[in-house]
Amino acid sequence: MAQLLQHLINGLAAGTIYALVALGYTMVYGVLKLINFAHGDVMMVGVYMGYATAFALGRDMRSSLLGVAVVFAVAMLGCALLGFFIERFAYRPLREKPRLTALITAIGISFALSYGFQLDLGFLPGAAPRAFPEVIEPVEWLVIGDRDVVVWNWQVISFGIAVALMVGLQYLVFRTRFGRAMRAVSWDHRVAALMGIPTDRVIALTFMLSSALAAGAGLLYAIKDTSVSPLMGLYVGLKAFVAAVIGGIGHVPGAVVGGLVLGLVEEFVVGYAASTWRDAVAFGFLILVLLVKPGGLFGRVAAEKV
Amino acid sequence: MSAAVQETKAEAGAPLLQADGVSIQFGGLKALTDFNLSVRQGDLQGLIGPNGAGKSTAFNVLTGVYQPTQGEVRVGGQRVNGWLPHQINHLGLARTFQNIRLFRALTALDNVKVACRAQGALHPEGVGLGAKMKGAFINYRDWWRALLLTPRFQQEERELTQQAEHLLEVMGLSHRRDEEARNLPYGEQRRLEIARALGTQPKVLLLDEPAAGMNTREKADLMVLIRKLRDDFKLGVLVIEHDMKLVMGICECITVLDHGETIARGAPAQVRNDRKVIEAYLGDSYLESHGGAA
Repeated sequence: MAQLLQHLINGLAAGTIYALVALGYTMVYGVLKLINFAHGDVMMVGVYMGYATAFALGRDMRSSLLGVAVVFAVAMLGCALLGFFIERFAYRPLREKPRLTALITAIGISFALSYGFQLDLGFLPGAAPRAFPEVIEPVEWLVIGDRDVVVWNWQVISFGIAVALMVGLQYLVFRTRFGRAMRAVSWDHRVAALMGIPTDRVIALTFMLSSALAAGAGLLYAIKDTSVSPLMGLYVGLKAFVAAVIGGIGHVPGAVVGGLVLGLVEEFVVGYAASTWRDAVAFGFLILVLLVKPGGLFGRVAAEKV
Repeated sequence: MSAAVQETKAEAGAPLLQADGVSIQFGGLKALTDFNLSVRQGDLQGLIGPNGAGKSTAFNVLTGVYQPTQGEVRVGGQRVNGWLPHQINHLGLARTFQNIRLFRALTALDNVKVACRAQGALHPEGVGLGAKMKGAFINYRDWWRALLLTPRFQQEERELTQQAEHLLEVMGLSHRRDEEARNLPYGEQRRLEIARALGTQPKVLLLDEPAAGMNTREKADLMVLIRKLRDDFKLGVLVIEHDMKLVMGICECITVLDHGETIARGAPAQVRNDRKVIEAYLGDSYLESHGGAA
């Protein structure tokens, strides 16, 4: 019982991170019908920005509350800028081209970032994984019984940040002018433009928002994993993409549920079977979901008109 | 040039929407040739023509969806060649669509609210990246206000909701406020499109076949409604319509297009008896068998 509870907590903590990254996929897919395969790598760049900031702040400063806030702020703002430039110069010129063109571009950017970051250019950290500094010093937040169940402070903090970001996003999408504009663009961007919505700017802001979320999620992941490497974006990004598809891509709460479900499934596989099975089961689960519900758990499959 | 500008400004009813020798060409196909038009406040004009005559192309070029190959379009006196659709909309030009294009998954209220703008939400935009980003943050500054739930944000939201509710009421759609647009009956979807267009606070309203698919009774109601909207919102209205009775009934001036060329313009009675118009609509054989136009 205690073991189950422990796995549940670990799974939720991992799941919230997937959920945050998945939200980025889902938002961009929502407005552009583009699967932004570079999303995971944008996240990775954000983690490196946080890494650099943490080192610049020094040991004492970075584990203070202010330090943590600065690390997150720099990474999220930096990533928002990166997202803006990628959209502006890589995707926007291809907006009216066949969708496949943008998709291939996304894959290209993904590889450019993940392998570009392995170059040894002095200011880049090189290919080897680095230990991520202890921005949040691990403290046992809650211990039940004889260390049957341990909840770490970073799990609570990461869960809290993730939930706050998700609630904020839900509010933004459904209660604000920007969110309405986003949903209108998502439905029909040409009509939205004719109704006075600056579609280019809505799309750019969506990219910035999703990239900032990715940076936040990436930092939480790096804190959990205590490491950072140029290829982490490919791996985490792929998993988060799976989470988004499980939930029904384009659906905001779906991405959250998909992330949580994926986190739990992985944790239980690792806990009760073997960690080597983790990825196989995760992707097997995706296939299973798509067999039963092709649009994902929350997605609607549009009936083809004959 | 400057004299001409001053002249138009001095004139009481300066044209709100003006097309001057507009031509548009797709590859070798001339979709619109030397199209002229001028809509003033209080106008109720019609644009008719057989299928493929270039009516919708004309709407698309006026609203910035297409760029004219030649000629120029002016909205509120401002030359808008090369402007983006949303910028032209901000100058006061709104439209509906031939095949209804609502945001189908949004509620009726949200469909209108999307188009509504709070007072002072529009800011003149400069050129260059910096100015554009600044514009974006100002135009959508509500996101952080929203997160902080500032009174200003809440007040703006209330204002928008009131505007949208008012428009729904005008269009007789209050009872559909929270229903998804796709669940509305056909006639109400058409009216919702008009409500949405009005949300952008236009000076000129372009209606693309507003009566398509309506029955006779609905059409009669629509005629009354269009006139009322023109008067209440102080609009200039341009209507594309296939239904001759509707166009002849409400429009004071009708432009007839055929193969992208303007073949007639004038009052309904005049246009109805124009030989070229009858030819275009009914074909040469009709004229031959009836011994020419009346």
